[in-house]
Amino acid sequence: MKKHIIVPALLAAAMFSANTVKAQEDVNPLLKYISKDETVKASIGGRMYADFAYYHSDWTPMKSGAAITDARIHAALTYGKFQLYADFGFGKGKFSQKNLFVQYNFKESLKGIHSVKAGYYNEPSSMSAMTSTYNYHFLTRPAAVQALAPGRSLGATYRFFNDKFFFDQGIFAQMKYNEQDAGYQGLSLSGRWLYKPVNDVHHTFQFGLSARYQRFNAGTVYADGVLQTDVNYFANMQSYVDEDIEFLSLDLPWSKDAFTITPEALFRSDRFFARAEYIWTRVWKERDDQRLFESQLGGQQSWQNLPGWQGGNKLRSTTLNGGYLELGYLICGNAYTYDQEYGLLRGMGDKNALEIVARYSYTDLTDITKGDRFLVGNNKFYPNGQIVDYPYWSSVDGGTMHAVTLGLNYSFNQYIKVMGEYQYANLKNVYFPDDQNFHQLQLRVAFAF
Amino acid sequence: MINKSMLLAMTCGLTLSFVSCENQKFNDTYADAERVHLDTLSAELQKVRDYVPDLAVVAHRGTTYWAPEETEAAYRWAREMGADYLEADLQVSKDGVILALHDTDLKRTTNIEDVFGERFPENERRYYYETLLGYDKEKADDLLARDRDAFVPNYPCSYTYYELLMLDAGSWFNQDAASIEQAREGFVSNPQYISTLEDLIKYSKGYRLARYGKDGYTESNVNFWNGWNGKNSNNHRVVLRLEETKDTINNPINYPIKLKEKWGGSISDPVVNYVFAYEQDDDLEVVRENWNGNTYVGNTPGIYIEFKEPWLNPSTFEKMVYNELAEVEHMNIIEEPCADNVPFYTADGHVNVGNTNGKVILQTFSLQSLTRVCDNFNGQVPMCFLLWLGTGATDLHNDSPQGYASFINLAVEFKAHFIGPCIAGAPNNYPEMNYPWQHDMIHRAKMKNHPYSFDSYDQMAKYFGLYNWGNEGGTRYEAPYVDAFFTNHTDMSLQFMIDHGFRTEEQVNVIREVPNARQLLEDLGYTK
Repeated sequence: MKKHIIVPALLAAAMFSANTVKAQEDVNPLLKYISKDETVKASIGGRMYADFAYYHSDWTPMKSGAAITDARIHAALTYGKFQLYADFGFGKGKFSQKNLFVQYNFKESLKGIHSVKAGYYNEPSSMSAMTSTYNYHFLTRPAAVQALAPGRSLGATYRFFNDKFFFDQGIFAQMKYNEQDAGYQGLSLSGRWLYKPVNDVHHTFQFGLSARYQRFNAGTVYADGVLQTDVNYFANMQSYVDEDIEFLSLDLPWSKDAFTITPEALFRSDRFFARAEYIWTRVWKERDDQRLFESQLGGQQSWQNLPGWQGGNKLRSTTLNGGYLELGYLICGNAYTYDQEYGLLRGMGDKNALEIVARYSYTDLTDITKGDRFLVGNNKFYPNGQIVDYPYWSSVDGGTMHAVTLGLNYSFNQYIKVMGEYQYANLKNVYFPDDQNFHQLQLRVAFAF
Repeated sequence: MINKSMLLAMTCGLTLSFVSCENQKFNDTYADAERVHLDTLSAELQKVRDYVPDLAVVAHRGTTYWAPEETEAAYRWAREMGADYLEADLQVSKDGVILALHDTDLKRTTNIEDVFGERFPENERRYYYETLLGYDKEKADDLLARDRDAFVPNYPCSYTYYELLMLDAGSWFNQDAASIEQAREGFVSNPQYISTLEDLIKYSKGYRLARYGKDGYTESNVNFWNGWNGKNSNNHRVVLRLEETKDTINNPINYPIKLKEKWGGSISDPVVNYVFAYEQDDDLEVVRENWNGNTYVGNTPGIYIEFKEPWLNPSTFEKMVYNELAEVEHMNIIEEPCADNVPFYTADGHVNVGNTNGKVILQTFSLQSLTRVCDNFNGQVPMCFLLWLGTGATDLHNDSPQGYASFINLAVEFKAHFIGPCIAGAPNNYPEMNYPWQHDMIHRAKMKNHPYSFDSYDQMAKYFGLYNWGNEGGTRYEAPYVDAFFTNHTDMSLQFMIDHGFRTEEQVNVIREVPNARQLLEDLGYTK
């Protein structure tokens, strides 16, 4: 009985907190205005991360050093059931578009909250991707999430949540500035759906999945008016000081459709959390073979028929995947908490809190046909290991990485944190044949207001 | 306590956050070149590698500077100049004659535009089938129809060798802006032809072409020259007879026909054996003496032959070359090995490489041909894997130590003994693929380095260590950064090596004073 009383209270707290302007703030803002009748709430805030990293790699050096890895300023406004939020990055001295959206809670009750949201913000997807990096328990999201989960897009969603369920789904544009060279924009349909069999003040257990369908229409003119669409999957080595993506990077020309499914699970108690996700993506490709074949006709060396041309220009779908498991134990501090509105674990922000965390992640951006041999001198695959001058291959390799991370995080209060990590990563990438073992030590000082 | 520790950590972090790391050292090419994995040649392959003399001078296409490339004139000049090897590119004619010819388009080095234009050589092909090979009209008509369908102008493999002999491979040299200063009437009055592999071998063995009206052959034995437009055979090369063999070749020029399935899927052409006459090249007007009183005439260089890209040649091309080496002048050391103790230079001062187990070196840029050479020769004949930096089908794209190593390892896997990288510098301005660290990597693999092409004194001086090339690598490297090299200027290269002490005592006995290039051409009958 007690449980059933507490849970609606949590939900009510999520709905009607007088101290937060809500929307998507990392902390309870220090600079805010709240009208007497609480119908108008406004705040401004910001955050900054300074990271230090030392790297050791087998062959290709990574650049140890220090960097301001994030700097942002934001403004939020709540007017009745409307919430407006905008934040902008200016890290590295460059302006970057971050969140910019409006949300309307059109139905609020203790049975749940229904809202619609429109603008530029994270597509509903992996819980890791949805979590603000300030509230993350590691310095970066797992590489698999960086590579395979969507980021922000321009679109609209409908969301419902209560103490048992969380549904969030919407439609998004392929690009935010319509800046493609050719073609009209594609779209994506995304959603995240959770069930929370356990959800009280001290515990949460939830599981569910997210899914995403993408259609790529925007691209470039390849030749003779043939439109080439393209998609890139990439991640850094789970570090931002050297955020080079060369080790984990895959370009898939002619991509036309992609489907991603991400099962997830989270368990939280006051002192412990565990969460895991698996991300699977399949990319289908489409190319105007007939037109490309016809455009090459007319020479002595021309392919003489379409099947021959297609045999020499192989194209097949590509499958990628990745996953992670994250664990945390709160040594000092009050308790881990849970964000009902977004279905996420909150960050550690208690005064003088200390936690130890561990993560295993793997990222597989490799789709190599069995038996293929790769020659790094000319960056070609040779089917069945046969060395010829014109190999016709369809293998791709963007790298496979397994990484183990151990971290120790301390928060002076919710506004200032220090985070430290050691990470070992094992890489396999045909383009980097001698790069296998990566060690890195990282330290972050972060503040938000 | 925890609070203080964290404050300390944050202070350290902030301090470190503002520490510049500008001096951190990144990729060190020299260190990477030393630690990258390299496979090594087996002891057996190293023995074959050592069939070839160190610092051998390879006369690139005979010479492209002093005479029309890959012709009798160029090869005779290079031989008498004292080159250790005569270099050639191999292609095939439509009727299976192995050519020593570089370009895949006949327009640059022949007068094909004047002789055939871009028309199918209908009359010549009919004469070839009906008169020279003796086919009846019906068969000739069938073959002509097929040939007409497959014909692509200017491709060497589109033409029979009979037709290729109609082309003048010498006069273009006298008209080309790049070589007009070296023009000689003798390149026209002594007609120059597209050479064959057999010709090349004969030149290396001290022969020249026998010519009608000059060597006791009064007229064409097989109505060869007279059959073409009533042309007089005088001073043309002697063709004793033509024989159709039982062999066939899958001529790549016929591939489109096969795809059309118009001719029953047959893409084969019969191989025709041309029997030529050659004469010993011992009747030069001026026979000069070298320092110890011996004549220059009599050098026997080896040959350094390149398999061109496989898509231009039949799939059996490497086997065809294997067979021809076995049939002509005992050039196949697998079939007829030489004694191990035959010297590279004779006691009386002649180049003798052509009589040793190093008499033939094979070479290719093609990865596919590399594997086929391995299949046919199994590392028992010296073999060089050539490198070019670019984005073409056979090129090295990535010239980092790892990329370079991958091609060396491929060469070791397929039993090549030498790497042949291009070098930078005028006049060719090729990409640089012969840095000292790259030369060192080749040696780490127990291979040797045969770079190309050394066409200026500057290039010689640079890679032989006169210009401190490689000093930035500290004590790691030691010049010269070559083990043998290709040159279009055998005269300049030999003189440089003699002047700077890079010829061994044995080699110096051959030449202490390099012949004058122009005078030698005069002596060979190529008058200005």
